[in-house]
Amino acid sequence: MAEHLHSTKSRWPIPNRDTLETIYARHRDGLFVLALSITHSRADAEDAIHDAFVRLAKAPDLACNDPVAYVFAAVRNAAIDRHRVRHNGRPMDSAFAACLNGEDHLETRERDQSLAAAIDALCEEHRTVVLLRIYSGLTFRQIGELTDTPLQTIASRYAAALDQLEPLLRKWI
Amino acid sequence: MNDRSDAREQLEALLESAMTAKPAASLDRRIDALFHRRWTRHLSQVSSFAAGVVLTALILVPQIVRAPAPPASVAVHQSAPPDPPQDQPPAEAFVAQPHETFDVMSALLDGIPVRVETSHSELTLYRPGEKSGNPAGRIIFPANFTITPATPD
Repeated sequence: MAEHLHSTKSRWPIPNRDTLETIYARHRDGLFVLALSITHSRADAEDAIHDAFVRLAKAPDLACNDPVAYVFAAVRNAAIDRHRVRHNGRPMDSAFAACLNGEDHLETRERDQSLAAAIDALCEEHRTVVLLRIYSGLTFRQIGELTDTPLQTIASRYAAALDQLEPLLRKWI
Repeated sequence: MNDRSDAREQLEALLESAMTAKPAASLDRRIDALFHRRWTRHLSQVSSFAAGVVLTALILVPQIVRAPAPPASVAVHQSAPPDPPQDQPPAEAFVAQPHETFDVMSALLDGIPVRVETSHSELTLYRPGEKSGNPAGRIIFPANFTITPATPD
């Protein structure tokens, strides 16, 4: 991943302090959802974001193609690291339930359970695209950058994911 | 086609509406502190040189130029006055007010022999016509001039 970012011809400078602050301000919720979907713990998700920004703030003068994708990749890696340490390879519970509202209202709770089950039923690649597209607000290009995947593949995965979700969630639409 | 597009938009809206997870404000503070500390560290690195310069200046400048003590007046009188009257007491030292140090400076520049006494071992001399700021710096007194600390009152 990192090698891919550094080997591409068109480069932006690595996010500097101001850029990092701006990216955090604009994408904090999306970064949090990404980290939360991996760690399943609010505290761990926040720690992962902090870890990532500590690393980014200390980063030497490298180059990246897209600062936003670069930061998301750093947060994702930090969340994966934290989850590995915390769970020591144990299987995860529902990957998505931890990210949803968790409201007490019965109908909302039922809807969220259906939604979490539907998203968890997606394969990891499709789930990642849905999460990054809808909850993190990234463009397909940024998702492709982050996951080292061609743009067209990302778009196809997203369409396929929605096609899979639609019949499962039609009741709530 | 439109129905399909509408259904997709509704599905996206549903997915989006279900997500309200936000980080705690404490994370904002931690990130802010992270950047603040880095900025402070950079600042300290940048300022270390400036601090050295300032420290050097604090040590050296007083040795070069010392501001006149405001209440301390400068005693000035001519050394070896020409033919002082025998029946008169020795010329009393002319106690110059701080601003009159300009006259001393002028005298020095003009080569007029005067003796300067001051309560300080050094004297700040300003350029003629300037009362403050931009001191002329240390004056190298000619051999026939002396500068001696005045006896404190």
